Amino acid sequence: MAEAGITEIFLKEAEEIITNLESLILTLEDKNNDESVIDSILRCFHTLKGSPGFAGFTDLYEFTCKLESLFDKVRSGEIAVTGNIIDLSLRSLDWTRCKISGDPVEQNSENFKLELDSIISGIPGNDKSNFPEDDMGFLSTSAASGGIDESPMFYKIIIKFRDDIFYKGIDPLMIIEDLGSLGEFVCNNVNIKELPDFYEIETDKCYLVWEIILKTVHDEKRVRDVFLFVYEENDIVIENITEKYSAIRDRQYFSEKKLGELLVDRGIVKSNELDELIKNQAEHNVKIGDIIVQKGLASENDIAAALQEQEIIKKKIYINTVRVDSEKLDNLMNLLGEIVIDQASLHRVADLIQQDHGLIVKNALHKLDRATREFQEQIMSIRMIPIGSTFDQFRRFVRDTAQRLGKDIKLVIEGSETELDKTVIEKIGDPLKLIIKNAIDHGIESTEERSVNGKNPVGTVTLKAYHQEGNVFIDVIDDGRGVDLEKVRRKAVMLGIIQEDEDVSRERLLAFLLKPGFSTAESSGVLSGRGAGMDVVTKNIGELRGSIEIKSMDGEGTLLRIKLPLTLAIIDGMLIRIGASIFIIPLLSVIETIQINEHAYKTVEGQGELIFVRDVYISLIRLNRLFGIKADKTDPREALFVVVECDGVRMGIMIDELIGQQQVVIKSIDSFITDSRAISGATILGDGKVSLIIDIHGLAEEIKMNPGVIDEA
Amino acid sequence: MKPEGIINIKNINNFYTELKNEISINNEIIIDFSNVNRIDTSAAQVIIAAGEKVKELKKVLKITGISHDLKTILKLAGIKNKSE
Repeated sequence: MAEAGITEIFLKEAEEIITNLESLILTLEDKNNDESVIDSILRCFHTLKGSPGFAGFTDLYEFTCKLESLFDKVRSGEIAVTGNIIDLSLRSLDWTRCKISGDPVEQNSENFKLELDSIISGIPGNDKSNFPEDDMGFLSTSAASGGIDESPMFYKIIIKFRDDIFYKGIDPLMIIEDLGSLGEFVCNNVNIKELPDFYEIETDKCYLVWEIILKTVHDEKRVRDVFLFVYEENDIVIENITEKYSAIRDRQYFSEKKLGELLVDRGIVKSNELDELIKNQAEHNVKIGDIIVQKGLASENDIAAALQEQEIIKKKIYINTVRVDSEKLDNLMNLLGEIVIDQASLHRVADLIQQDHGLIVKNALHKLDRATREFQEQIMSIRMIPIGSTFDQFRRFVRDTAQRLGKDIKLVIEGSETELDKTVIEKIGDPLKLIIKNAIDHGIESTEERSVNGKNPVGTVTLKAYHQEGNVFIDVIDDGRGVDLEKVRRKAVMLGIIQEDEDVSRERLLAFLLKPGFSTAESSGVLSGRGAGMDVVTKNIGELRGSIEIKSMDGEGTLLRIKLPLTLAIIDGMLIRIGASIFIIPLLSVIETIQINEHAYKTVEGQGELIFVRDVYISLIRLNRLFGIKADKTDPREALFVVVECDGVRMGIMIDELIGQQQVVIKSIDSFITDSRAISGATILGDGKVSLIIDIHGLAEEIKMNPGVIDEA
Repeated sequence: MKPEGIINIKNINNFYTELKNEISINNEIIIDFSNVNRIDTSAAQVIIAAGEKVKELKKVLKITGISHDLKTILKLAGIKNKSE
C-alpha cells in the first residue's frame, strides 16, 4: 500500500474523476446515447478503478467495475439510457464519493450499497460472474496496471488496397473484420477521398482507404499476420503507437491542444493535411471540424469525440495544473501584503530624506515597486480558478431539487471559463446554492402553472459569470413568476421598515429582501421564497467584499446579480483627504480629478446638488455628510472633485485634498465598525494609520436607498 | 428497394443500377436490408457514394432492417450515420 500522503493524492484525483463523471452522466441525460459521452464515461470509470488510491478498497473496486460494465452495455446498445439508469448512476457515484471521503453522509451506507448492488445486478448480464478472474486479481496488488487489459498495445494501421483487389477474390472488409477480432478499434476512419461521384463509380474498383487505431493485447506479429496474403501487393502501414496513444488517453498534456492536433494524434488527419485545412479555414472562415467532415476525412462522430476529448483536457488542465497546499498560497499573499505596507512606509521615509539621496532611494523603491507588482500578478494568477467546476456542481443539485418538487427545470451555464480568486470560489458555492434553491423552489412556477400562463413548461435557471470593470459578476436568472412587490411592501410595513402610505421605489422594495430580519421562514412563502435566507447570502457575499442586487419583472423572472472583486487582497487606490480622514478610492472606478468653475454648481429640486462636468450634470457626493465627519472645504467651488463611474453613471466626490496613488492591502473590517455599504474595507498606510476604502458601487447603492443622506443639512 | 441475400462483387452492378434508378425517381430512398445477410466492400462503397450524392441532391437515403452482423459490417465500412 502506498504511503498515506500519496494515497491521499490519489483519492483526491478519484474525487475529481467522480465530479467529472457526474457532469458526464448529466450530459448523457440531455444527449441520450451520445457515443462520445458514453466513451468518456467509460474512460473515467476505467481510470477510476485503476487508481492506486483504490488499492485496498475492495468493495469500491468491485462496485466501479459493475458501473463500468453497466455503461459498456449502454455503449453496445444492450441497455437504453433511461431516467432510472441516470438516477442509479448518480446515486452510485454519491455512494462512491462518500466511501472515498470517509464521509458518513448516507446513513446505513452499507444497506444503501447493497440496494444499489442488487439493482445493478438485476440488469441482465451485469452480475458478478461477468468479471474475469484477472479483474479480481488486481485487488491483490497495489499497482495501477490497468487491470484486465494486460497492458494493451495501440497500433495505427493505414490500409490502402490495390484498386483491382476484388479480382483477387479478396474482400477488404473481411480483412478489416479479422483485424477487429484482435481487439477494439479505438478509431476507424474510412477515407473516401478517392471515391468518385456516385454516377462515375466503377463498381469493380476498390476506392476506400482505412485508417485504424487498434487496441489489442496481441503483439505486432499477430497484427501483421492478418495481412499475410495481401501485405506485399498492397499499401499497408502498421505502426506501434502505444506510448504516444497512452499519453493521449491519459491526457498527460501540459498545454491545451487544438482540435486539428488532436485529430492528428488520433491518426484521423495527417500533419500535411492539417496544414492545408488550417489554410482553408483561414480563407473561408469556417470551423475546421466542418471542413474535415465536408472533405470526408472524418465523420461527425470523430469530430464530436475529439471535441469531447478537448473539453476534458481543458477541464483537466484547469483543475490539475496547481496542486499546492492552499494554505501556502494564502500565506504567500499575506506576506506580499505586508511587503506592500512596508513599501508604503519606505516611500514615506524617502520623502523625508534630503533631495539627492532621497531621489536615489526613490529610484530604488520604484524598481522594487515594479518587482512587487509583477510578483503580485503572478501570485494572483496562481490563485485564479475558473468558476466552471463550481457551476457544474449545481447541475446535479438543480436536477435533484426540480425532480423532488415535480418541476421540469433546465440549468443553463454561461461563462464557465471566468476566473475568480480561489477564496472567492470556495466561499461563493453556498450562497449560490441558496439563491438557486430559492429560484427553483419559489421562483419558477409548476409545469401546469407555466403552461396555463402560456410559458414554456420547462423552466430555466441561468448561471452566468463574466468580468466587467475589474470585477466579476455572477448572474442567477430564472424565468419564473418574479417577485411579488406588493407582498414585499406589506411585509416591510408589518416590520415597520416603511410607513403604510410611504412612496417607495421598486429598487428599494427589492433591496428589502436582502435585509436581515426580512427573511423568516414565514416570509419565504409570502415573498415567493425570495426572502428565505437572503440576508445570509448578503452577509456571505459582503464578507467577500461583494454586493448583490435583485431585479425582477412580474411574470417574467428574477435576476440576482452578485458583484465580486477580482482579488481580495491588493488594489491600486487613490488616496484622498476629507478633513482629518484619509480615504482610498479604487483606481479602477476613477475617471478624472477636476476643479469646477463657479457656474458649474447647481442645486436642483429632487436631484440635490449637481456639478457640470464635460457637458453633463452629475451628482455631487459629500462623503463628510455620509460619514458624519468634518470637511475643510464646504463650498464646492473651492473644493476638488474625483469623478468616479459606476454601472455607466458618473458621480463627483468632493474632497479637500488629493494625496496620490498607491497599492493598498485590503483588510476586512467588522460590521460593528460600520455597516455602510459605501465602505468595502480598510488599509494600513505607510505611517501606520488606518484608512477606509470606498466601495463606489456600494456608495451609489447607499445614495439610491437613502437619497436624503447627502442633501445639505 | 429490398435487395436479398449477399450483395458482393458478383452482383454489385444489379444493386448499383437499381440504386441509381431509385435516386433518379425518388426523393426519399429506402434500402430495406432485412433480407440481406452480408455485403462486401464493393457494395459498401456504392452505398457511401450514394449517400454523398443524395446529400448533394438534398434527398434522403435511409437504410432499414439491418441485422446485428450487418450493422457491424456497415460500421467497419464507415457507413454509420452517414447515409441516413
